[in-house]
Amino acid sequence: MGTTIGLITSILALFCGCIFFVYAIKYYASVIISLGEVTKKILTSKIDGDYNSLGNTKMPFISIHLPFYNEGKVARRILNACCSLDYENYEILIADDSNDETIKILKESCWRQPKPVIKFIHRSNRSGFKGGALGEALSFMNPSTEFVVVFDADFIPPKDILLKFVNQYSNKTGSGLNNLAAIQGYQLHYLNKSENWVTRGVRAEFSGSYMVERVAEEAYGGLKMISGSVFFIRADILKDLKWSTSITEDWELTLRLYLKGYKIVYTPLIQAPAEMPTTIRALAKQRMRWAEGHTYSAKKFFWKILSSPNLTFFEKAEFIYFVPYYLQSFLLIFGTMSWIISEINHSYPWFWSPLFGLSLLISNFFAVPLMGFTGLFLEGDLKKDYSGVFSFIALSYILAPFQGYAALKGLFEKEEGEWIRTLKSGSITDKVLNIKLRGFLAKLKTLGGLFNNSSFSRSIFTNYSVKQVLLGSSIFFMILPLLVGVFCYIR
Amino acid sequence: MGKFYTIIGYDLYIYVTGREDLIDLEKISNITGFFESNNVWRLSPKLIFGKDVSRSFLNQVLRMLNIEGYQVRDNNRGSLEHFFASGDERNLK
Repeated sequence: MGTTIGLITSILALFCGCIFFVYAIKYYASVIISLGEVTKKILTSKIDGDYNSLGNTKMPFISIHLPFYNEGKVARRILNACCSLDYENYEILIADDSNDETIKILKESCWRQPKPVIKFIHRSNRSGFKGGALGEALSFMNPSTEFVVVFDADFIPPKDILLKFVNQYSNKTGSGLNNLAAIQGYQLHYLNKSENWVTRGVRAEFSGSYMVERVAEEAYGGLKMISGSVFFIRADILKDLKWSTSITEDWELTLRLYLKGYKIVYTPLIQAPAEMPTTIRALAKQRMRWAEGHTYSAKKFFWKILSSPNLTFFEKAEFIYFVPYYLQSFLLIFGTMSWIISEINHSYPWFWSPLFGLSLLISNFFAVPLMGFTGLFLEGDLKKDYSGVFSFIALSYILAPFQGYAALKGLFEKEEGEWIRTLKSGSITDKVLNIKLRGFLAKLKTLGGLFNNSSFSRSIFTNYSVKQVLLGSSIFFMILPLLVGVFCYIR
Repeated sequence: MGKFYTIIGYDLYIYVTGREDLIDLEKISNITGFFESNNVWRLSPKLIFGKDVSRSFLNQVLRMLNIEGYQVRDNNRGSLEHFFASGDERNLK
């Protein structure tokens, strides 16, 4: 009996390990791509275009939408930042669901200025959560709006962000991407990164995601996500598709955009700094919402996406990778338990060897941390922020049960659960000026140099020792289980 | 150019045109208790909108608006909503 259970659990553990290995290969490939020539092109591409060169007589009208729910600690900060943008033709629209002192801030007469116009829309309930509030904002935006930009309340948009979005849009459509619907920028989770080990970990995680994973997706033409904040979208398309009331309304909109044949572009060169959750509790709540909503929408649109003629092979492949993204947490727990039971019973399938198991474990373990290290390296922050990667590793395991539970809930439930908000502290421990990438770009701008020959690209792409270690590690860990497997088979 | 208000059903629009400044929302809010979290309202530099305002609130606010020099004006909802969204006062009476 024990032998049979051991055999079954060892096969299950191996199955989970193989699924993780497929993800690990993707992460290692992303690291290799992000350190390669294609990414060099993305990271050094021209961001300062000329919208008027496309025959436009004036800059397009932009409506900035800010969803608020009890944002007293950050409301003034983002309103002030949005009021000082270097752009002429825009308005600010606050979709407010607050029931605390935030309302007092919104009623202050200082916001009643002629330019940019600020409009407040207060609802008495949270019907439809963030999607509901943003949907309400759509009804009241200026009729001449051509593009909508959304920021969450804890972000601080830099002065040139609208101009960069418009220029990036004109560059992309000018080069033939006519069905471009949206541009996602880099959510630079940075402002309170030195607050504690949790924020340091989240900073490293986001760096890996936004500087490596998403950059690689952009390079090979995978499906790109709208991520709830720091994105620019055509107003006519948004009005047509409307916001849904999903708890991950951004991911849901992403899928509906692709189904309609539209494309999304990601650029790490358009960044807005933001703060991070500071406690495990807040982080777990946030990730549980993401896991549940993401899995629910992936399930809802699964066959539609796979059978749609509007998505390319790479976009569909990326979607398949996204579907069980949060279910990995469940598989981690399930796989580990299966592994422990099989070890207790000392029973394995005939093709199994402890050495092969160990190689699979090592390969899977290093994939995500290596992405974090690479992301920080590409941002020029590796030396300063590398310890965050170790925090991130710890966080991944701490969050696994929460994410696993929420992902399963999303997979099996008929209706999505409630939105759980992420509390914002308003604290800033690290100034935006410290961000290397932004600093490099600003320096280049003043020098007027071409990015392709810039000190930025030299400093990042010729830092050979670190780059080679990262590249070498990715290749080594990626092929390790294959080499060990072949070795065990021959022996 | 002027300072106006319009009541449509139970909804109240307070608005200004030209270079007039809108009445301080905090002032109305303090006296009437409206424009708080449990009510639906909107605000732009030129218009304040309150949805489903009670009769007692209306009496208080109209008294205040009359003192502040606001006049009742018969504009339809479409024109007022367009004014809120665009700031374009050309469709207003």
